[in-house]
Amino acid sequence: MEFKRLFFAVEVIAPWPDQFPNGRILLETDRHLTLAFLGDVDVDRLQLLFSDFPKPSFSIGLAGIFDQVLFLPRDPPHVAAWHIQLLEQKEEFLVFQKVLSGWLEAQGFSPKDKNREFLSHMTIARQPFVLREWKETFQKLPLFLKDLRLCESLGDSKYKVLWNQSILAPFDSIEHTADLAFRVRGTSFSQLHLHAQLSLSFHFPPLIQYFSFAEVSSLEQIISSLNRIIAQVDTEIGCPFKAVSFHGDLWVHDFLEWEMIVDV
Amino acid sequence: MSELKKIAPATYLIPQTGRMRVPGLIIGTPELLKEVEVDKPIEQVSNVACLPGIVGYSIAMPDIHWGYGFPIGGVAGMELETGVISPGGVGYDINCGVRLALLPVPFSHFDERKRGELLRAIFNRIPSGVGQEHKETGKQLTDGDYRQLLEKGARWSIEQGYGFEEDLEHMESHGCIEGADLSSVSRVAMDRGRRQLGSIGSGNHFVEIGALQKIYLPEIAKEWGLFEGQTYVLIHSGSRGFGHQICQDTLDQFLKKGLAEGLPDKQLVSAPIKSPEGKNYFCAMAAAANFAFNNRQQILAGVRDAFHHAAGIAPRDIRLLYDVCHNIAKFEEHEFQGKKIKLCIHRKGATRAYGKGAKELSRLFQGTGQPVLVPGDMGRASHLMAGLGNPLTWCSSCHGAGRSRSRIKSMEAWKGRDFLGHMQTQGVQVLASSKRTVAEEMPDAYKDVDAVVAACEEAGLAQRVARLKPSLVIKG
Repeated sequence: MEFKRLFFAVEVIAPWPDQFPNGRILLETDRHLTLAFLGDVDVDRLQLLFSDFPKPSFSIGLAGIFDQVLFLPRDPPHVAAWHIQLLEQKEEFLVFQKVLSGWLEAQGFSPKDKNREFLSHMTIARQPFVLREWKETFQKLPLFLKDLRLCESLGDSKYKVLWNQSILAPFDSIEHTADLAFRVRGTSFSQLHLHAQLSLSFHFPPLIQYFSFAEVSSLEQIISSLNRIIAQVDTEIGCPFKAVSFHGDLWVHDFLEWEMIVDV
Repeated sequence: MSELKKIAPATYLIPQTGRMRVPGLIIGTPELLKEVEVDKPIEQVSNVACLPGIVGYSIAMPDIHWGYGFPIGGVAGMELETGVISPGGVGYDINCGVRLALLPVPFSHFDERKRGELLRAIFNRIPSGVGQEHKETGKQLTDGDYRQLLEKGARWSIEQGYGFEEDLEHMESHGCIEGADLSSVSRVAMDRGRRQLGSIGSGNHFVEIGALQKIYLPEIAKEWGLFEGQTYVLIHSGSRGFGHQICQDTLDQFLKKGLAEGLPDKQLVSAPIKSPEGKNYFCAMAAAANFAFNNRQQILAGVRDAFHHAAGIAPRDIRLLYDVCHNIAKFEEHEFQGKKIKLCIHRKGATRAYGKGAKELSRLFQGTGQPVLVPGDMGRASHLMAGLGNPLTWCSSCHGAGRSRSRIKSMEAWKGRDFLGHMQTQGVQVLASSKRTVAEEMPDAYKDVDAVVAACEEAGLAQRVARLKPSLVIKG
């Protein structure tokens, strides 16, 4: 029987800044959103149960933004964290977190903080840090949630992934000699629209202020919407993109996948 | 490469097959064509050959790479009665182009300290990078300004104090494409460009300063007032958001009207030149072209002002040698099968390269051929060539080195490395609004421009006059 300090988490992907204010910054690969903290548990017993792991609410990584900086706990704070605001399936995600906690309880584990309201956040640094610096330099950033993971806490903000359930990324950058190109995924045209905007915002984060949630029902409508956004951004604050090309390669699998080419 | 057949020095034929109305023609060498993934751009050359009214060949230059509809480095001449005009054959950045100005002093005239001062002075005067033009106060085009600048071309900026009358003689089409019409332009395009005049933008646009490193043709150099070691200024920019939106609006309108039907690629969507849609696009495209001429004129004015204040060089002593368009469609007269015909020449990532005696050229260039400006990359070199007026390519030549590595790959290759320090070790100081842009634009992301211009020379499109070595670079 081997006891380890374990937690379930979701991998968080974002266009991380090159520099942060002072603090003990977590490595990019260690940044995550904790779903359930288990404490010291028998890892072998837990791993036997994975075939029955609750199905997540999402098959393609969810889009979100870091919308504010948090200091936790309140007094005195030990960590600087960024709050995660999901831009899609917020309720479903909360339900999944509760289902996961319930499932763990049913298996005889006792997730910590189970009675506290779930605070969607990602720890970015540990003390020592200066709160004012973190507040003043904070800028909203896009993000997406990706793989579900069981992690072991090794101490000193280091983690080891013990189990991973892969989730499709909402987009991937792909090769294009002159321009930018992305493979964008969604289960509907609306999600494809959001994930296309997300991919652009990873290249130019100020674009998140201009995200559109308008109803769309075709690729042509998505492209028109993206180009309206680009025109507005360029008019108001400047934009590195000229336009999204009218490129129609759309594949239909269990989900929609579109090769989006952006003229820069 | 396998389907290409060499028919002349550095000239390869794509045989006419399927729906192609004419054969394709690739200018290049096997080495250059190996450097990039050529299957897609070559397919694009074949697709362009299917367009109605195309005459001669669907042509690609040695800096060919994958573009929107047309390959970048593509040239096509369309007959006026049955031919079409295609926004994809011009590109999003309408009249993206280059201008070269020369100083009366060698670059060695400026010591290290002065060079740093000059770089900062230019950087502070000319907005570069995303949104930088928004920090500039009090410079916003009114509708009245738009009407004037579109009608007058670069002359409008000169009338506003940005340059000199003689500059106009040193620009392709004297800095004005006839036929621009503001009523063909959307309000969105006007709003997008309103604050962007006189700014470099981002991506591969730049201002570069350095020395004429080597003169290849002393006679032409003498005619043009060049000497080895001479300080040069090279400016690369286009019509900014104004032109991008005009392209976008037109594509949108053409696609909605079903004008892509029957084409091998809907990005080639086009309208008959004589149709209302075709005429409307030409009027809007000319408007964007004239915006771009004004843009480069105002950027040069900023450079002249910086040299005046930082180094005491009079603005008039900074002489514009030439300004070329490399994303444009123009009506030109050419000889084809022994007859003079008027064509709509699309050049997308290609430069007009008129030879000696071409009637549009000013007196200075009548005996030499037109200056052809070929920016390379920000580390190795750029080139100044003289056009040879080759009828095979409708008097066109290359426009740059052409990318060999994507922006993403270049970013990955330089991630975590001191690329600005690396440029300094190459003798180049770079100032940029965005580090990311510099990483994307590092010299190894481009083909070797020396090889590209050598291929053009071998094919008889243009001849090398001088090699330009950059030392100070401003990027977006």
